[in-house]
Amino acid sequence: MNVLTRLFRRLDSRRAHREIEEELQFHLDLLTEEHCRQNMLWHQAQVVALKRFGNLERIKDECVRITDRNHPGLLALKWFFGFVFVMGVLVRVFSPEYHLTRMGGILMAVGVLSRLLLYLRSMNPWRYVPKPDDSSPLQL
Amino acid sequence: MAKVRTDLMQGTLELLILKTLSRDPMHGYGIAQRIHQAVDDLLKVEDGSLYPALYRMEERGWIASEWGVSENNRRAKFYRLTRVGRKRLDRERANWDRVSHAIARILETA
Repeated sequence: MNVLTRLFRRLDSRRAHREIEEELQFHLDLLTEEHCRQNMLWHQAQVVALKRFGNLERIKDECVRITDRNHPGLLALKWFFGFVFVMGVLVRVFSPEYHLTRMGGILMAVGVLSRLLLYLRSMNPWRYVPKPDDSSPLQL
Repeated sequence: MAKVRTDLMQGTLELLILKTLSRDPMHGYGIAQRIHQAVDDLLKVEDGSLYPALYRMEERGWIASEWGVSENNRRAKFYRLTRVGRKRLDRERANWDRVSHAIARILETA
C-alpha cells in the first residue's frame, strides 16, 4: 500500500472506527467458532466467547480513543498551534514596538488555549465509559 | 491438578506480544491463541485486552499493521514487528531477565 493511500485511510476516521469494529468482530467470530467445535451450541459459544474476550464496549472505546488521538488532522493542528505559540514568544521577545509585543502575547495565548482545547477534546470527559463489569450490549 | 491462574503483571503483555510477533506477522486472534498456548492457561489474559495494547504499540512505532486475508478467507488486520519494536523486545527482555533474577535472589536469601 503506498504512502498516499495509507494517509487517506488514516484521514477517514469513520472508516478507522469501522475497521476497529470489524477487527474485534473477527476475533469474536473466531472465538465463537472455536467453542462451537467443542460441541457447544452457537448461542452458548457466543456467551463464552464474549466472556473470554472481556468488556467489548470498553475495549472498543479505548481503541477508538487511541486511534483518534493519532488522527493526522489532529496531529497537524497540534503542530500548528505549537508553531503559533513559538512565533508568539519570538515576536514578544524580539519585537521593538509595543503593539507588536501585544500581538506576540495574543499569539502565545491562542497557541496555549488551542492546545489545551485539543487536549480536552482528546480526553473527552463526557464520553460514555462502561463499568468493567457491564455486560456488553454489542452484537456478536 | 487444578491450575492456578495468575493475573498478568503490568507491562508484561507488551513483552508477550512483541515476542509473539517476532516470529511472523499475525492477526489479533492468532496472537491471543499463541499466547494462550505458550502460557498453557497459567496466566489470565483476556483476549480483548490485547487490542488496546496493540494500538498503543502501533502508536509508539513498535509494530505496524496491514489488512490482509486470513486463513479462513476473511479480511483481517495483521500486525508485524518493526525495527524499533525488535530493539524494544531486546531491551524489554533484558530488563525482564534482570528483574526476575533479582526477585529470585531475594526469595532465595530472605
